[in-house]
Amino acid sequence: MGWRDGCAPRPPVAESAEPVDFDFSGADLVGQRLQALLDHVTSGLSARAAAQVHLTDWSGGHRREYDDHRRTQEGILSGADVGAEIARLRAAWDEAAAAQVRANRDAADLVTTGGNAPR
Amino acid sequence: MSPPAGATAADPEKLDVYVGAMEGSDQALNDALAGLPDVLRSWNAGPATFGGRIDVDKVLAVDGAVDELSYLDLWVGRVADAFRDADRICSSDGCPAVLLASDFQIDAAGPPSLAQAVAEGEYGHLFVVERDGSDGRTRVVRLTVDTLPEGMTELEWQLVVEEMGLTGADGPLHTVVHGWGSTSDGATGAGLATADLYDQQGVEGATVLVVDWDAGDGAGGLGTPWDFDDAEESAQATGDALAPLFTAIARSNPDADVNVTAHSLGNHVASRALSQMEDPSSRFSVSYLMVQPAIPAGAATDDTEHYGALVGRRVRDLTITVNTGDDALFWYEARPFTPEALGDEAADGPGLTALLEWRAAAGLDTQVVDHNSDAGGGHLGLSPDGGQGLVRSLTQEQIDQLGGSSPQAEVRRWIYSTYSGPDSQIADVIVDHPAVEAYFARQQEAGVAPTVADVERIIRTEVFPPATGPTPTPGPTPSPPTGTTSTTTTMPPPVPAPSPGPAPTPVPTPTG
Repeated sequence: MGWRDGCAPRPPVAESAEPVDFDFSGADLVGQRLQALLDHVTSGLSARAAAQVHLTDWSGGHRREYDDHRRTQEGILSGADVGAEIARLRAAWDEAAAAQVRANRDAADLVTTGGNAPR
Repeated sequence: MSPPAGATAADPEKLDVYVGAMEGSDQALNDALAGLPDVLRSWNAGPATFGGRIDVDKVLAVDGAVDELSYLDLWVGRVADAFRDADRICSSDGCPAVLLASDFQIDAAGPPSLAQAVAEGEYGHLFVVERDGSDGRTRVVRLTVDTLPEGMTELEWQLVVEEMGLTGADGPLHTVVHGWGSTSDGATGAGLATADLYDQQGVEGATVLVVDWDAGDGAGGLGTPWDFDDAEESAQATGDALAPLFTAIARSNPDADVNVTAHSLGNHVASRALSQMEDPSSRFSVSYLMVQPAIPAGAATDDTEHYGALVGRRVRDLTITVNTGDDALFWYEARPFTPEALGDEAADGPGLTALLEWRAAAGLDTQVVDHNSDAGGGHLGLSPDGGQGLVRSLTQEQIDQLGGSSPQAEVRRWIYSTYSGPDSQIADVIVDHPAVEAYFARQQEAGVAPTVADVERIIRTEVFPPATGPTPTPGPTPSPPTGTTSTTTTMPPPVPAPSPGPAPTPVPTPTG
């Protein structure tokens, strides 16, 4: 799944319009990296859960150390909620895209009406 | 069934299967994090009109947890080894698949936490912190590989170098590699002196990594060629064994600022490691200073499998000191069937020429410093102190270039192009002179570019003051180097001239 599936498409900047103050390319890079991280975190947790079948014969104090450390660190992964960071970036993308669409429309109105459009 | 108190049970073969099952996903997760905090910081530094800032601390927490879990998965393999190593008595039919051991016996696996393992010295046989940097000075870590590290996976190297702070994440990483017969103290001293130059130039967060390999220290003097052969083989094997170390750095931080200085046989170590490492991003590169390299002159172009990094983009900038009067390399070549060494080849010799041509074709910057210095019997040394002005200046140049340029390099090139000549040591005397060294040090500390005019004055008043006899005067006007390869060529002996020519214009730095 792409990080901005369902987001507004990146709008072009109309010839007579100013670009909005948002780095769409930079956001795309960051979004892709965060989504890749989230995907790998998820698949890593699944892989470790599936691999527990190989540890069924292991018991004793060191096994308890393994279980404790695993629980603590996997808790940090789940608690970090990388998905929330991606959601915040998606919201920024959509707001910036909408602003660019408005800027394009305003610029087009200006060209069409010479700035005398009724308000 | 639970084992009795104080005992533990496992089937080590199944534990190994677990480790194998986790390795791929752990490596992939670590790769996904490589360089990510820097990407996020860069993003956060941009405009925030529409929000979208990312919490870098969250990602750093994920990074830490991923490292811990990756180590935990590898630790299960250590537990398996401890089970196998534990003494036990089995029936004549052999041991069962599920083995019983005491907790004490399995403690040999060490703690399950990476941070705890490093803190408790589980890797103390490999890494020794010589200067921890807590006083604000540049950190120095010694990697001891007299016994080659075996059985460490690339992922384990990566986790350990990250935990040890050896990935260049906080500042430049400078690797120094000693030559034949160097002691650990000598190698460490060179690392500390290199670190001092980072402090002198105000570079923050740097780490110097001293590679302390089995170079036959204490094996005898230069008159024992068989020992030298052993050391040469050791250098090659060490280089091969350290390729995963550089792979780990490249995987963790592909854009790290990495400088390498290697002396004599140490160039086998550095060149082979850099040539055989893997770089998944193809972005990792180093600036490499080869001091009197005791490797075959044609190695880079004749044996690209082991030395090809020298003619590729992985060695972004390459500086080689050569001296046809190198006494130590004379002995290197005195062995039967030994090819000429790179470090005492003439500047226009076939090995150097081929290396320069290959690098020029790849658009890479190369500098050959052809000198006649007396230091170390013409063989120079690794340490940028102790009267080794040339090594010092070249090291300062490496550090300067982390910022993009090196004004000192231009002045030093002017000295060599103006005062060098066949068998002439005038340029070396100037560069090694305490007054010149002190001048360069003052300028570095002040962050002010040294000038040809200042050096001229020091030469007139302190290096060759009038009272000492005829003052050597500068020779032909230096011409600025052109193209991508700057070679300090041998010039005719100095002849009287009214004044030195203008300082050479900076060498254009090729991109790519």
